[in-house]
Amino acid sequence: MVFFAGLLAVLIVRLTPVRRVVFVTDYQSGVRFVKGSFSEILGPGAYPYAKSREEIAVVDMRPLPFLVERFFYQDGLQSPSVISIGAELVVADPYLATTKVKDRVNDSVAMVHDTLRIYLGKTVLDPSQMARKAAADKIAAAANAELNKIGMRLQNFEITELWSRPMAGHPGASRGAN
Amino acid sequence: MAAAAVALFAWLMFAITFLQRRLTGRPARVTLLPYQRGILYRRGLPAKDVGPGQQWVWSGFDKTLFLDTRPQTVSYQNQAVSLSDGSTAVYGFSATAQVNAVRKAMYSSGSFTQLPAFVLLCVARNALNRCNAMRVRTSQAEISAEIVKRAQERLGSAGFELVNFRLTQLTLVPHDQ
Repeated sequence: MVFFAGLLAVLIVRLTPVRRVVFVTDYQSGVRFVKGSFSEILGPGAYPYAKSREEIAVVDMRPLPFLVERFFYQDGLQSPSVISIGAELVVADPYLATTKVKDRVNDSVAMVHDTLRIYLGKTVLDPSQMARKAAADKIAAAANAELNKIGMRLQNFEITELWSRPMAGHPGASRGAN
Repeated sequence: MAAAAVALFAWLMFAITFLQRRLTGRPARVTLLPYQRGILYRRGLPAKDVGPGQQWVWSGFDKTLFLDTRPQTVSYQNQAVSLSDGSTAVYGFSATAQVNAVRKAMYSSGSFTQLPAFVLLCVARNALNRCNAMRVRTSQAEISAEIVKRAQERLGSAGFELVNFRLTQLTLVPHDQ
């Protein structure tokens, strides 16, 4: 009798599933859905959950560096130009980043490309090093206006290369990078 | 009487084990190799840095994340860049970087293994875009030193050390091409 009681206990322990836990570290956020509806944003912690009715999407909040190299365009004066940028993508709103797009990184990069094409075609950038920071801030602001819709944001935006073919006879013809 | 005591003890052990597995998970081993370093997270917060060897963790609230500290080499060739005077140069470089501060590296980027390549591409392109054709012809060592200096600063703040850097290619593209 004792033997069977012990055996039963051992079997129950062995067959009891270890609880399901989702870990959210301090550089992540968790988005909890209960019965298919958004419930809450989770900070760092270990969260047990019932798989049958809950889902926790873990979002990495660390910056993701990306490059756009040799982006050719015609500026506002129709001068052939080239720009290269480096920037970091970060998640600004974990809920939007989880629910609005399937692939937030690739979709964000596509949106940055679109923004570059639209913004740069309407403007004339001064390639001097002094003016680059201001130009970078303006481009980042234009891109962020779009990226905010999907819960993403650009930071540490830098222009690593910029050159426009000078327009002959144009007052702003001196357009070297120095 | 003795049989009843044994049965009670068995069921007590069963209840304790059952509860413990539900509440804290079970003890688990994590093994780090000699070239790996990690951080033990307890309830989502960094608790301590861990080195090579075996670590015991509670699977219910501990998690160890680790990274590879071996040097990683990046090599890019035939990269075109516009110079400040409108001419075009083609450059290439080869570099090696390695993690020297685990926490900084872990938090620096979601894809920290690609960070050295990102930084070096940004810095090299930016440095060359400031140069004109004359400087590219005559001051390649200075340009290389400038790239190294700026890359070391940026990689250092991200927990990496630039072990070596070599500008393997830097030539001007003739105007008629």
